[in-house]
Amino acid sequence: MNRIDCLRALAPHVTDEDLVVISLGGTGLEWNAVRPSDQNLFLVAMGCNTPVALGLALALKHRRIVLLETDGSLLLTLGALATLGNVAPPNLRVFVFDNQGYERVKHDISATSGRTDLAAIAAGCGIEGASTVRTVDEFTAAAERAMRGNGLSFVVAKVKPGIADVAARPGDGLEDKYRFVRAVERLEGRPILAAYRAKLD
Amino acid sequence: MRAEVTQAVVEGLRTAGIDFVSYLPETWMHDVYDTVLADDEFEVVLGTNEGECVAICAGAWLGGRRAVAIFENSGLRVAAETLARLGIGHGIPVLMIMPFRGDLGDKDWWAQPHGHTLVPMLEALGVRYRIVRDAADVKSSIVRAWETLHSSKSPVAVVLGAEVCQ
Repeated sequence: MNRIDCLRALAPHVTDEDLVVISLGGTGLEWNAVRPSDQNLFLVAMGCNTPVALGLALALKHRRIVLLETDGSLLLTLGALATLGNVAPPNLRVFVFDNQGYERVKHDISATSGRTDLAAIAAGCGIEGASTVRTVDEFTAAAERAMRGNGLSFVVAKVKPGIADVAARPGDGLEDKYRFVRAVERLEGRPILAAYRAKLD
Repeated sequence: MRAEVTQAVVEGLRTAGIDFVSYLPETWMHDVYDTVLADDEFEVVLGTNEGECVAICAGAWLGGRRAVAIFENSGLRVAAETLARLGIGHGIPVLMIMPFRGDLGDKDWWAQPHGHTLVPMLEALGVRYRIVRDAADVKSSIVRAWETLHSSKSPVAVVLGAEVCQ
């Protein structure tokens, strides 16, 4: 199963009301090609994606947050699954694209190429319905179920290594941050970056 | 921690409009945790490591919510990668409040590494900070820290010195 086919299957379920947090590497490049939007937060921050998505979901409880996570990043912060299981934000949908390696740095094995089972770890952390899919049909069904559901979901997609032939994404982390926050401001109809003055008393 | 200092921390959070706390427990600020956990005005999330706490607060900030990460200063070392990536790389700010374990006068030998590493870690990671030495400055330091966070988009730390915490 190629990751970009999963992303193409997921994209029709993502609406203009959603916010998407995306892990680094090929996942971000491919998602940008499939569904470019300022409502995408591209993070180049291994181990940060899941907790950032959790914080965003708790800040905007009325809005659906979609997280496109990767095995290497999640393995760096497995404790975040324990927190996710306990908090269980109903507005967060997690998809882990597990290519069983550190592709971007040309290393073709990660722990999940061995015995490590991320869905089993998630289930052990109390995340209900955590599942693993291995074909595009299975992913399509799981994505539809997750996006139509009303609770936290966690789908691990076992994908083949390889990055689709898509365009590079210009910009940097600062620009990505500003574009995303401005998009959140437009969506929410309130300022986040505007001048702030506290009154001490 | 003396009751008036605990109260000053909580009042500082309220005045700054902060209603979200991600934390890991430690000893000196124990009463602060108990207070915010018992207060329905605060949403409180227990993390599993300090980097996770910082990242959760970063996500909350992106959504327009004012959040603080509270943990022992040893956690700064754990959170270093998160602060470098999100703080320097992406310019996503986070407020942290921590006690100065290993400060002059700290009687615990195991706290000494925290004293040695605190300031070099804060400076290396580009964290704006204030070490608070007088309980009377606790509330205003927290409020000012949030203002600096907002205007600089940098991570900011309020470090409570030993004489404030004990």
